[in-house]
Amino acid sequence: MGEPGGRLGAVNVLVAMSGGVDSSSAAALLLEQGHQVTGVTLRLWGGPSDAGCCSVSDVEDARQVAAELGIDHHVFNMSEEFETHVVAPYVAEHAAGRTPNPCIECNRHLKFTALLAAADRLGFDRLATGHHARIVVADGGAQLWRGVDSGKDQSYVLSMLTPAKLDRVMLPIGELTKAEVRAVAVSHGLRTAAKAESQDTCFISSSIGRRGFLAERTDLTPGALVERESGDVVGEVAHLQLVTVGQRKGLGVDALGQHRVAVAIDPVGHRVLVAAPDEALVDQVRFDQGSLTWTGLPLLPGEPTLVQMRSHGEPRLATFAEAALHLVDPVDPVAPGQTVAFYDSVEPDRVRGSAVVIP
Amino acid sequence: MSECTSSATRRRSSLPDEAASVFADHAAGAPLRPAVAAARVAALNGGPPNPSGAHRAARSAAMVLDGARRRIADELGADAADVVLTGGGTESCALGLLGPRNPSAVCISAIEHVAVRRAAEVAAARRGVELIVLPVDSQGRFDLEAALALVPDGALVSVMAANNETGVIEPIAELSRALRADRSILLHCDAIAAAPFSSIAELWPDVDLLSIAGHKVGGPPGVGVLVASRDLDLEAIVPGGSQESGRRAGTQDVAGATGLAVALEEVARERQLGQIAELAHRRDVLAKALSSSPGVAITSDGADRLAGHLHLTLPGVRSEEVLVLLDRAGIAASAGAACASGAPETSQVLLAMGMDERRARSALRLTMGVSTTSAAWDRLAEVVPEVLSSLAR
Repeated sequence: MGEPGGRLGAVNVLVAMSGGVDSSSAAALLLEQGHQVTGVTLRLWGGPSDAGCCSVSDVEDARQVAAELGIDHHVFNMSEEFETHVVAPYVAEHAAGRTPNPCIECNRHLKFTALLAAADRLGFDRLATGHHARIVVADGGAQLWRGVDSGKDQSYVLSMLTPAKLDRVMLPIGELTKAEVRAVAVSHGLRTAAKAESQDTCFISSSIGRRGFLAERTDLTPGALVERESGDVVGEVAHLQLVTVGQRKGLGVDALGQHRVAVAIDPVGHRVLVAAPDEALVDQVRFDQGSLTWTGLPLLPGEPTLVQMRSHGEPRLATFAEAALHLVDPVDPVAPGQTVAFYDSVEPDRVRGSAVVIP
Repeated sequence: MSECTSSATRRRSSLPDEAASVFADHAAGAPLRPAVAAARVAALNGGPPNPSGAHRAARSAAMVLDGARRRIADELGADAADVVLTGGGTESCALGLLGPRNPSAVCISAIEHVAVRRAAEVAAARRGVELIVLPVDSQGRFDLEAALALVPDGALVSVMAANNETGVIEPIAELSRALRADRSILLHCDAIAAAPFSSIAELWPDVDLLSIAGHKVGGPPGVGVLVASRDLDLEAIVPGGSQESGRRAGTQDVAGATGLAVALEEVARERQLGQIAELAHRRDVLAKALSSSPGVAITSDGADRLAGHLHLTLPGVRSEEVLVLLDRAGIAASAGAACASGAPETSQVLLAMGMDERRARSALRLTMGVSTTSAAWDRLAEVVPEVLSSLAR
């Protein structure tokens, strides 16, 4: 391993190219740095898709960018793994009243497990992706840091990486702003330089939508809105599987005119528990201990940490405990199934680990 | 930009030497024969290309086209008037399936190429008739008994002469004897995979419609033929002029047809010289060498297969990874089927043969030709086992 910033001697690197500008520029930067670069695009989804990691046109963009860069490019079909580890759990989690994060599960199981294993078997030294995050080598190990462009930072969706994986991963664009990333693509004449970013869940097209997608694969059932304190039924939702804990929209207003907040989803009892905004606040978030991952040294019980509970959520100060986080300031309830990323309280850009929230 | 260029140059220079590279994907498209290229260029340089017109230049082009058509017909054992020139194999199959006007049903084998499968789906929907899929056995051989029970009178039946993935040769003559006379069926045969190795002239009397493609026989891509008796009423699928007796509109590719004629003549010569038999022998020697690797199974080794085809599986290994390592070693091969995105999908052919998904996901298709050199055969025997064993787990 080289100096901080993830700089290395020339290595043989497999770069995951989604067909977007970030991974296109990642490949270009690796070439500029003198590495031996091969591109790979994962074919993950055979169904309808707008854009993102899954569509044929994105595979085609990646292939053409690789040709423009003069590097080899391969396409791996991982649609079975995607179905098993991302799509099926996505549906099951919603059916169980939880709110999954499919991007994190794709990173966990596909990009940084199946693809990393393939890269190993194929003799590559490293796997690179176009995520906005940095790998910084310090204190004898690879650390995961937020990307330089705070508005585009994707360290949250990589927070489940482990030391053994970080050692084998390169994140070439983490040091750049999005504008600089586009400038790299422009300077190499890449066709993706001005390509719009993908935003939503890649396997759900806008014409079908989340409800349409889930309705094809699971039963969506109505649920009563039940006030947690009083037990009173105060309304109904058409599809309780589409409600997220913490949600305010569409749940009506209480006697004081305040938007109700979903605090728990109970698919078996066909109800959604709601509370007034003040009563809904929580100062503790429980997590599944089996889901804990660490990028390096684990947090110790009682240690302070900054926690982020959504892709671009505000970091909150908390104290780590064995099975829960104790928040210094109360927050809106956090949806079970979501990932909580731990950041270092002293170096707030450094990712420490992750866990999945449970009720 | 300059950095990019220098990096790209550096990357390319690390690829294996041209001399060490092996093209073992003839079934995707055989290398263009030098004689074909020469004939095509000569025809292209011969003058205005459109054979339709009221002047000497057009008549001259028409004469070249007539000559090419006659030579193609001779090689296929057909009459020149039966040869419909198309824009390639897929179009030939589409015309073969969509052209017949009143089939009582559309029947295809379970291992047809996607060009036939999709055309059959469209044909059945357009004519408002049933699409019937006819099974194959575990070796990928067409199940004649099952077909007898399933094919109704007056059906349009499409069965390939040989499968493009496994290379298995199908019993077209038997099928024809069993079905064609009594049941007044129309039989279309996709002979695209078979054409580089088998005699089409022997096949043609047994079928009503037959498709071939230029690039599979070392001829030009973008040129195909549908052979169909001139008396057979075919509805054109491309509207337009009355070229090809109204069966296929559009200006003919005179140079392409000339190139195809040359390619088919060379194929026939190879067969006569025993080079196809020699090819099959070399394939068998390689198959024997590869099958000694632990876990490797040669697909359909109990069936008659095309001389250049060697298809194998090694459960647990993924086709894509085998192809990456072979590509790195300068060997071009395939998994058998590719989708638009370039990622191998699990082969419908292998699944139709009853192969389990895990094994099917490991498929490797090596397809060679008469032009494959001794050094290339040696390199395949050396590198393929290495690659397979490095990925086996």
